[in-house]
Amino acid sequence: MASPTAPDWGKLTAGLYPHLSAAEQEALRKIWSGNYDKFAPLKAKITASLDPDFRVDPDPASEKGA
Amino acid sequence: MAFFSIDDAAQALRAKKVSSLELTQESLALSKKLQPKLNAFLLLTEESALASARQADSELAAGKDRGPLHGIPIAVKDLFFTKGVKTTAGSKILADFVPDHDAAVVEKLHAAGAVLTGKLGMHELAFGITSNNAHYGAIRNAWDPTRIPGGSSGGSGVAVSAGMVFAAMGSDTGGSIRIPASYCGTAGIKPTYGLVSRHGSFPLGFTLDHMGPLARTSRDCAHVLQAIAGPDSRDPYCATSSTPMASIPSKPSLEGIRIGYSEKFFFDNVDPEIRQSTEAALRAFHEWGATLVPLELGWLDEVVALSHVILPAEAASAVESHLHRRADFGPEVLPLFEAGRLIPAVEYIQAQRLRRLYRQRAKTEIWNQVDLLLGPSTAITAPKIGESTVTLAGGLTVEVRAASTRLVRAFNVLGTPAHSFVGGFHSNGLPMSLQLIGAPFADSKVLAAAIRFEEELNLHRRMPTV
Repeated sequence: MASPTAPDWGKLTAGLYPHLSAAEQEALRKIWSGNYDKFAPLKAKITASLDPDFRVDPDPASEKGA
Repeated sequence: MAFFSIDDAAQALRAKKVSSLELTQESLALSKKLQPKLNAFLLLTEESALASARQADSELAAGKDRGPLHGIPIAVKDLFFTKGVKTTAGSKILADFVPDHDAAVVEKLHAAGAVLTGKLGMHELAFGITSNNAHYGAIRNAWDPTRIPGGSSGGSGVAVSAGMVFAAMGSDTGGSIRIPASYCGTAGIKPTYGLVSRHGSFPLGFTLDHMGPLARTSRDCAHVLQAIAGPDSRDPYCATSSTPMASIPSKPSLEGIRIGYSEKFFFDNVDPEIRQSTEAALRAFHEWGATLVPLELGWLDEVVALSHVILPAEAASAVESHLHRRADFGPEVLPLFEAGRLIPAVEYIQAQRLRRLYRQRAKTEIWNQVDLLLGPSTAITAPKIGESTVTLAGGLTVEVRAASTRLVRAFNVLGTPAHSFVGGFHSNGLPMSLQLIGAPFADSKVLAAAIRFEEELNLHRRMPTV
């Protein structure tokens, strides 16, 4: 799956937190945009049939013990 | 401290060499004595602890034996609900919260006869790895009080390593049991996701939170885990199977056990002495009968990248109703929660889709090849309070947060058991730790291997002088 352009994190931050100072907004923008840079390329691995995995389902064959 | 482990104390209780009341009085006295220096506790529950201890002594005298935790002083991280006792999650926003029921793990510890001595300090709302708490003060490492104990279960690590309690409950969303276990020189296990109920614990990341114990030995961790594990319909993500954990013999055999290791993931940007310690451990396991299998696991860094999407989004949702109280959040954690609200829903869902892919990849490329993985828990030893970077021998400078979390976070995403235990001591005098990771629900197998290591080498028996 091709990835679209990255969201405009500066615009998102300013829109969600208009009451913060510029420095505070920049700190938030940096946290998320930094994380996104590592995550975004991984989305190319997603196929149409891949469902979300919200919990870890135990493998039925897994043992409980040594 | 007269007894090192739960097993030692349990034997002494049954041989009537000591009473639970005496153990508890000693625990409370030491906790109070060390509190000004180490700040491990938020609250000591002295009256109820002494009452529990007296009850334990009566029951044992009457032949009612609840198991190895009966009469043993244990404390819990302050994100576990304790009925009628303030539970703050290390925060100001919950400073006055008094739950009307116990967390599931607290219920189970009571049922096992443990004596709960108090509520342990932590990183604010569990969202950090230093336990340098803006509201309740820095928690300090017993090996060197100028250093962090790790987090977020910092008080748990300190209370165990300094001998205040025999075990402590922690939680682990991105390393928060294993990092303090590593920095404090204790054992600590993040069990399989769903093995231990999350009911009655403040959430940080709903699909990443794991509840587990820290203790001075891996066998003691096994005793606590045995007591707290099991189905709980009040936690919708709790495993429904009721098969108990296997009991672990002394000097567990490693014949037929395949241990995987990965240069690429586990040794990148790691302190050279920690690397050497891990390599020595691999050789030791091989000598004791295990087969070593090299694996290519550089892709685990991609799994870590998923946690940087999943965790902030879930954490922000957990505290959203409080975020208007900006002044009541510590300056370090507030931006982390607020940044979580910036994550679009689509990205969170994509991360959860990728999670399924990587869990399948782990099954194929790890658990179909080996029984266990072995690596370090943290890339560095405990840094100084306030340090944001450290420079390793050889001149490499690493960021403290990344060096503390990179080797542990992937296993929160994958939900597999991961256990930190002492692997040796650095030339700087601080503990270095190893991490054993297993397939889902192979918690006993993970602990058995760590127990074998401890029983052979006894590296874990060194304690800090406080």
